Amino acid sequence: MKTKTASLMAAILVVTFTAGCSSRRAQDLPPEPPSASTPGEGEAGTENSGIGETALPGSRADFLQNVPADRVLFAFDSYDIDNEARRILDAQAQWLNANPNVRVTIEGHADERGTREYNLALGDRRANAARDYLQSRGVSASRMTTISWGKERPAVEGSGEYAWSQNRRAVTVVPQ
Amino acid sequence: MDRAEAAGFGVAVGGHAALLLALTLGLFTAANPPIGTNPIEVSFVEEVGLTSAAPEPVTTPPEQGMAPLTGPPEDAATTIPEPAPPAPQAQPRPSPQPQPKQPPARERATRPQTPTRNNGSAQADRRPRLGRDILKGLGNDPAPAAAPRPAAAMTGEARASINAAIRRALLPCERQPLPSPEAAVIEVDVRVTLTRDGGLADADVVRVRNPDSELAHYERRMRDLALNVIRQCTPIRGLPGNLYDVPRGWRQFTYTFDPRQS
Amino acid sequence: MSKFKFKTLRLWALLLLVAPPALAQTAADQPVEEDEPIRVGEGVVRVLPIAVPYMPTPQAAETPAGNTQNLGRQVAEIVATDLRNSGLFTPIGPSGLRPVTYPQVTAPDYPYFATTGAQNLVQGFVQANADGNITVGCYLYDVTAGAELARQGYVVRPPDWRRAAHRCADTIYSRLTGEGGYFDTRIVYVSETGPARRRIKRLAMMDYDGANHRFLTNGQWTVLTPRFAPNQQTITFMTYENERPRVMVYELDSGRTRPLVQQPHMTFAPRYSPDSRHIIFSMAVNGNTDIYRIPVSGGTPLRLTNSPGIDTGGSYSPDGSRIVFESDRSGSQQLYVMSADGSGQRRISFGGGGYATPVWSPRGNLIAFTRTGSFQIGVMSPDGSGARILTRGGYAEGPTWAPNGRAVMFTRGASQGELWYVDVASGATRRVPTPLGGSDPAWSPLRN
Repeated sequence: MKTKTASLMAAILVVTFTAGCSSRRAQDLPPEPPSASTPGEGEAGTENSGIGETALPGSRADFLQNVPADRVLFAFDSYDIDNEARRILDAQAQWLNANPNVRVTIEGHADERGTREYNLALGDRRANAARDYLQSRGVSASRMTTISWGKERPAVEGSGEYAWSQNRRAVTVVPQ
Repeated sequence: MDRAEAAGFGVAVGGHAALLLALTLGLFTAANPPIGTNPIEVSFVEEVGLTSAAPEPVTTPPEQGMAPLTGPPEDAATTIPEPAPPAPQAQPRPSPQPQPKQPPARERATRPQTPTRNNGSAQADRRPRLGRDILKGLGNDPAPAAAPRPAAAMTGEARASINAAIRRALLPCERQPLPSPEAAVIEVDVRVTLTRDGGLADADVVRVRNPDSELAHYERRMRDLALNVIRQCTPIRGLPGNLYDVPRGWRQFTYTFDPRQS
Repeated sequence: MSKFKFKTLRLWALLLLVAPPALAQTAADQPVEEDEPIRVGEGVVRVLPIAVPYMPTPQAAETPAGNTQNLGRQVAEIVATDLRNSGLFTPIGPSGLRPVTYPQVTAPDYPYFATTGAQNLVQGFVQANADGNITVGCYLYDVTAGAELARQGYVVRPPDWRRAAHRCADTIYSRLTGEGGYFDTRIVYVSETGPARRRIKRLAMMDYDGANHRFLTNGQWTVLTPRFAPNQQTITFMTYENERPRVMVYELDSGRTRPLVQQPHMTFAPRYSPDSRHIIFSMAVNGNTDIYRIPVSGGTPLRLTNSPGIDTGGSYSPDGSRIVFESDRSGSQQLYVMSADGSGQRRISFGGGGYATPVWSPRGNLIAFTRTGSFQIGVMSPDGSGARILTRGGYAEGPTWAPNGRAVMFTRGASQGELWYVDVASGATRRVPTPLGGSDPAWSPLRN
C-alpha cells in the first residue's frame, strides 16, 4: 500500500512539475561553475524518491512520500496561505512533528512579473508566510530557515499563466 | 553634306541665332529696369554669390604649438606637439586660418570660406528671397546697395520695413538643432554689422536670456546656434543702399534667436 | 542605434510677433534704435551631421597597441561610433571621406567638408611618443563658421588607447550639446547564460561600448544588482554565496570581496551615497523589508524606514540630502522621497499600476523608474510631476543613469536579458553588445 502511494505521488509530482527535473542536471551549460552546488529548491529530491523502495524515515524521500506536495502556491503579488496551501502545510507540519530532528529550509519564489528587488522581498514574504504557518502548527521556528530566490529560480520556464502560477511558490526543502 | 543636311544645318544656325538674340535682349532688359517705373522695387535675390562679401583682415597667425592641451587621461600636465602648419605654398587659400585661441571668436561670426555650400541643396533652397513689396513706400531710390545716397534719412516706417526684410532673410536659417528640448527657453540677442553689399562684417552675442539657471550648460551652444542663423543666411541682398550708414541705418541691427513656441 | 529616426522632430512653431525687451546696453559706435523687433528662431531636435575623417599620424610607428596609422583609423571609427550611439549625431565617414594629411589637422579643408553636408568636423592625429605612450589629438571645427570650437589632447598608455578615442568623443559631444560626456565610462552588470531554471549569473565589467569585457566572478554563485561606487574604488552587489543572500563589497584594485553587513537576514538592493562613504540597502526581517544605511567600511546598520510593507530600491539624490525609494505600503508599488535620515517620507507617484526601482539622476532633475505592469522605463521630476515613458515594447526594468544624466541604460527581456540604453531627450535607443545575456547594468561615473 505504501509503495503504491509512493508511486502515485511520484507520478503526480512528475506531472505537476514537469520539466522540473529532467534538465536540471544538464552539464552542457557554457561556463559551468566549479562547484555544481544546487542553489534553489531541493526538488531534485523527486528524482530520487525511490519509486518502489522504502525511504529512510526523516529523509527527503520520506517527506515527499508523506505530504501532498513539498510546496504551496500563491496568487499574483500575494503571500496569503489559501485553503489548498493549508492542507499541504498541515501535512508537512504533521510529518515535521513526527520527525523532530529534521531541519528544513523554506524557499520563497516569485514569478517573472516583478522587478528584481521587489521580488526578492516578495519571495521572503512567501517563505516567511509558510514558515509562520508551520510554526502555528507546532513546528519550532528554530528548525526552519528561510531563503528568498525572488524570480531567479523559476520551477517552470516560460512566460504564461501556467508557468507563472507554478513559480509563485514556497518550497519546504528537507535535506537528502 | 547633302541637300537635306545643309537645309537642316541652316535652320539650326538660324534658330540658334534667333534664340541667342532673344536671350540677349531679355537679359539686357532684365539688367536694366526702366528707371522710375517702379522706384521701390527691390532686387530679387535668386542666387547668392560665393564670393566673400567682406574679406576680413584676420591677422591672427597660425596657432601651431600654442595650445596647451588639457585633460589627458593619464597625465594632465602633458602638452602635445602641434601638427606642423600647412605648407604655405600648397595652400593657396583666400581665407585665413580660423582663430581657435581667442575665446571670443567662438561667439563671433566670421565669414566661412564657402558660406553658402555647407548644407547642400537644402540650405541653398533656403536662401533669402525678398519679396518685391517689402520696402514699398520706403523711398524712391532703386539703386543697388553699392551706390549710397548720403542725403537719405531713415524714418521709423522705413526702419520697420527694413527690419521686416532682414527678418525674412533670416527665416530660412532659423531652424537650428537644439542640444535639448529644454534649451528652447534660452534666448540669444545677436548684434550684427553688415557690409554695404549685405555681407556679414561682424556678429556678436550681446545678451543671453536664460530663465532657468539649471540650463546654464546649454547657453554656450545656444550662442553658437544664434550666430549660425546669420552666418548661414548672409549676405542679405536688396536692402536700400542709401539707408546703409545713415543714423539708424541697417549697417547694424540686433536680432533675437528665440526657439520657443509662442 | 539601429532604430533612431532621422526624421526631424518639429517641436516648436514659429514665433513671429513678440516685441523684444529693449536691448542696447552694449555701447556701439553707432547706436541702433530697436524700433522694430527682429526675432527669429525655430528649435528643432535633430541629429547633427558631423564629418569624422580618419586621423593621420605624423610618423607611422609601431606601438604595443598597433601601428599609429591603424590606430588613427580606429580612433576615428570609435569617435564616429560613439557620436552615432548617442542618437544625437549622424557621423559622415570615416570611410569615404577624403584623407586628411597631418598638416591639415589644424587647417581643415572647409570647402571640401561643406560639400559633404557636415555642419561640424572632427579631426585629429595619433602619434607614438618616445616614452612609449600614445598621444591622440582631437579637434572640433564648425564648418559653417569656418572656426575651431574645441581641441583636446590625450596622452595614454598603449592599452588605454580606446579611452583616448572615447575622451575625444566626449569632448565633441560636450561642446556641441552642452552636456557632460559619457563615452569614457564603464558598465558593471550581470552576465547571464543557461536556462532560466539553472541560470548562471556572473559579475562582469566592460567599457560602455562593450569593449574590454571581463568577468569578476566565476559563476558559482548567483549575483545580482551590482553598483559602482561614485569614487570608482569599489562595487557593491548581492550574492548567493554559500546560499546566503547578502550584499557584498568588491574592491576593484585588490579584487577582494567582503560582506557589507554581518546579519543573518537577507540584504539586497544596495546603493552608494554620493560621497561613496555609505551604502543604503534593504534587509528582510521575518517577511518585512526596510531600508537601512551603513558605512561602506562596515558597522551597525541604521534603520531608515519602518513600515510593514516592502521598502526597497533606495537611491540618493546627487546632493545626498534625500533618498527616493519604492514601497508597497499603499497596496501597490509606489515611489516615495524621504530625507537622508529617513524623516519626512512622502509619496510622489500616484499612477495606476505601479512604479519601482527609482534612480535619481546625477543632475538631480529627474528620477528614472520602472513602470510595473507594462514594464517600461520612465522618468519623472523629483516631486512626481511630468512622468513620461522612454521605452516602447518589450519587457524593461532596472534603469541606471549615464554620468551626464542624459542617457539611461536598462535590462530588456524578462527571461533572456539584454542591455539597452535610451537618450532621455530624443528617445533614441541602442543595444549594448555583450558576449552573453546581460542584466542589472550599472553605469560608472566618468573615468578619472
